[in-house]
Amino acid sequence: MLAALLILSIGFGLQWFAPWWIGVLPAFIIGFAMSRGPIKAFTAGFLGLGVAWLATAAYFDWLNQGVLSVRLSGMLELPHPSLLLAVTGFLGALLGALGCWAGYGLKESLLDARKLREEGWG
Amino acid sequence: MGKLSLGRWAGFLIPTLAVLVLILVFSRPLGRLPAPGELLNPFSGIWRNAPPVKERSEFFFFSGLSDTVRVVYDTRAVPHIFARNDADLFFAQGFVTARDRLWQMEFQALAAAGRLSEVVGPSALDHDVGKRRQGMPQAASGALEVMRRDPETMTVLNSFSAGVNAYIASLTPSTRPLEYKLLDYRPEDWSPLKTVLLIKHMQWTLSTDVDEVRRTNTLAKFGPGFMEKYFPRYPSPFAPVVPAADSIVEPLQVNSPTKPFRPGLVGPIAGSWPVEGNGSNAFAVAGAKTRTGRPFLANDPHLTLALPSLWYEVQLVSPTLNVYGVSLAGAPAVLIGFNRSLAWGLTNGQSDVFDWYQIRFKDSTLSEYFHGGEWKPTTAVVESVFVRRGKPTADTVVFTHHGPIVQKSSERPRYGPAPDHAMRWLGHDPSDEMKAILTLNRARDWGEALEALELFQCPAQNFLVIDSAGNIGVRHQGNFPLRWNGQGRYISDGSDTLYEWQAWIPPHHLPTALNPAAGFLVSANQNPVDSAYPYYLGWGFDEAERATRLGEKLADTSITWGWDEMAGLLQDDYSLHASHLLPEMLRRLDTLGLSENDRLMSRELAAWDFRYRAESVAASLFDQWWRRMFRAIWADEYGSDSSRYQYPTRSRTRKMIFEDPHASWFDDIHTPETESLDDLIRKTFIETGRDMFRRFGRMGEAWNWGAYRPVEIRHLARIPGLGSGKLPADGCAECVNKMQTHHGPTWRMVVTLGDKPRALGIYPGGQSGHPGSPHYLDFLQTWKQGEMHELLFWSGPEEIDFDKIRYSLEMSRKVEKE
Repeated sequence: MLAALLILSIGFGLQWFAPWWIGVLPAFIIGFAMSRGPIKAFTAGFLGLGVAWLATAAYFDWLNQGVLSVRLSGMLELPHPSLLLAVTGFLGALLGALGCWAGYGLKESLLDARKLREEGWG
Repeated sequence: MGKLSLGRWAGFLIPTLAVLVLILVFSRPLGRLPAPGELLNPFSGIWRNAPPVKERSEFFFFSGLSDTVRVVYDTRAVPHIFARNDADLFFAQGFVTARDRLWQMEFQALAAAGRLSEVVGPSALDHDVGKRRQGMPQAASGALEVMRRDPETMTVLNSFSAGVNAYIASLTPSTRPLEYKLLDYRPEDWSPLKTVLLIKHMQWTLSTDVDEVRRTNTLAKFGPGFMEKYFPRYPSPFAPVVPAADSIVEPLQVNSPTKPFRPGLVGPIAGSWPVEGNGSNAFAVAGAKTRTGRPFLANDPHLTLALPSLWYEVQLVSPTLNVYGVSLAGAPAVLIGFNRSLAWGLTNGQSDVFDWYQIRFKDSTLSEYFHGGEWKPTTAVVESVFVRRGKPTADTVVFTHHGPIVQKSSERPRYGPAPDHAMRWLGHDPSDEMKAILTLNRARDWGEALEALELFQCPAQNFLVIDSAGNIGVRHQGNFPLRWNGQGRYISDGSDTLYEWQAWIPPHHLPTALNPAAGFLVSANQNPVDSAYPYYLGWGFDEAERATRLGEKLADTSITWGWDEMAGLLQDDYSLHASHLLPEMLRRLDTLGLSENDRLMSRELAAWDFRYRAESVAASLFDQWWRRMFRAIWADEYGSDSSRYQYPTRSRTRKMIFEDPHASWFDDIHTPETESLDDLIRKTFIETGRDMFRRFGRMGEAWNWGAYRPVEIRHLARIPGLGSGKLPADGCAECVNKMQTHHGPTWRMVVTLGDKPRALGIYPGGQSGHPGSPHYLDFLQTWKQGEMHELLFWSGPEEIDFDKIRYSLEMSRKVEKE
């Protein structure tokens, strides 16, 4: 949970300035440093960055009373305007989830490698 | 070993690979859209183009200002700008226009300059080369040269431009307008040249056409007898824009050729040219006929309907002027509107200021042409067109002294209708319309308005003016070549000097009328003058149906004119054409043996009130029946390449039905039998019924005019979803309410003057050009329903009604640190 919150807040801070995928970096680092299992890492990243993206988009959409999302869903031929929000949130979530999982995966692999080496296999 | 270690790293490699693929995939363009990752990123993508519905007041500091400017936005998002000097006023106008319309302004300026390929890629290449061939860059830079000589014009253009650039400078990649993100490019700096390009584009739209070429082809195919009989100079009945113009004592004479030049068939009609459908209404009623005893003015320019709208509503207040109306988005001042004591409306003048010349070139290099008995050199200008995602193209534009060669015979027809012909366009003659409009914005009465108008050269316009002294007046204004009778009706001989524009009609001979005895003035693109006027102005005037209808209503002494009557007449959807013709068509329709559906149709038509209402079934039926009949009369003789030719008008065809029912044109030349008018009427009637049934089923709501012929306002770059969608709407092509699929009334305005001006207005769209803004389309429903808004005119900042203000911008001078 703490991992998710950290990804959310660091990702939120970074996203304003850097390329769209920048949120993957905090997710990766937090995954490496904090996660205890691939599913937990995936979930933390998914929730953390997903909420950051979804909440930001939803906030703008709310202030705008949905004017833009209605027009854009017409442009993209989406069946419902809220799908645009969902797609936005899901993209952020997937980015966070995979990033965090990758961070955890690296740690695990390194630990694995060390263990094997210690056991005389490496 | 390798196998083992790969397995060991799988927990890292699989998600890493997945996330890299995700990033790569979403960083690549998706179809015609740029990287979806960037667009969807809520921190800088499209979500940033969803502005809060509740606007907040803002403060700005600009080094371009010399004093404080206050801009208040009323509830319809119309800015009212209060400045302490003109330079600041137009700086602020530039800033607020850009703030609402930057993308549109720039896109249209690029289109006018033939630079669209730079942002949309190879698909715009033909358009761009076409614009260069038309000499648009030279037309704009030439006009700017002239404007530079006038200190006032230049102050206004420079200040406006600085205001636009102040807005551009405030943008970041995240806050750029939506279309820049969707089309993936960034704005460049604005300049006075871009404003001039927009003005040139407007001139192009309103003063060029390919009628001359079509008439030439029709002449070549059918001969002069046909042209004289079926293309009359004046329709009948007909009343000119300028009634009983002052008689001109000594008109200037002009030399005409002794032997007429007979050009042959040319074509095909290539390139994109201003379409029919551009036209307008304006009418003025004198105080004697109105409820208030004060004059009223109404105007509605009909142009292409587009989003964002061509027009931007604004009030401009400084110590030297206070004017309200619509500006051309991207140009300073107010083009159509009113001030405290003067109001004016515009309709297109249609007088001929555009000719085609057949050129005899020495050889295929187009380097020399024959003129005035000798070979003269052409000038070649190499134009570079830069193409996004493509190679730059160099194009050589050949100029004769007449003007440029738009289409060369050595190439595929893409740019113009007449290969190796030169175009002569008044828009290439430098003029300062900006000065004319600025002077008009400040004019206080009819006399001052006339002085302002004399500076206005192109495009020819009918200016209808009312002033607070109670005057109503009209002036057919422009710079008009002194033509011999019929000069420019057909393609001209480019080698004969007598076919050139030898002189100009003197300004004091231009058609002008003040306070006509009838107590009203009507202008609807009909011929501005009748046969009493000594000069030849052109052949391409509109049919007189709208003008006749307006004249009939305004002459009706049982009507006392006020707001409802003026606004109501702008919405008039009565078809004079249908009212004249339909009873005759029904009388001649042989109903024997018609199907039940067809009999139902004829009953529906017989009960019609000739009004093109959205809910009228009869309107759809008549419209299709008439179109089929018109085609059946002429298309067999005209043949398949119909766009090359000009057809007789609606009213001339109607006249033939009444006065010459045995004309040979009614026979279908493709059948051995000889068809009569009645055969044709019955055949097209049955075809209409069959088509309606096949497309829309049994007669019902799907047959309504609004469903059958919806109106659609498309986005300027045709981005789907950003247009209006299909709308059911009243009105038709020959109605006063001239509503067509993509054309129609772009700004309806009614004004009266007294102690204080009062006005109503509406345009389809909204003040904001941002598709995410609630003001993008907020006028649409009101416009569609034929209603209008009250326009708020304040004498000064002390008079602002704060109940009607939503928010404001305060702009101050930025003091640079030493």
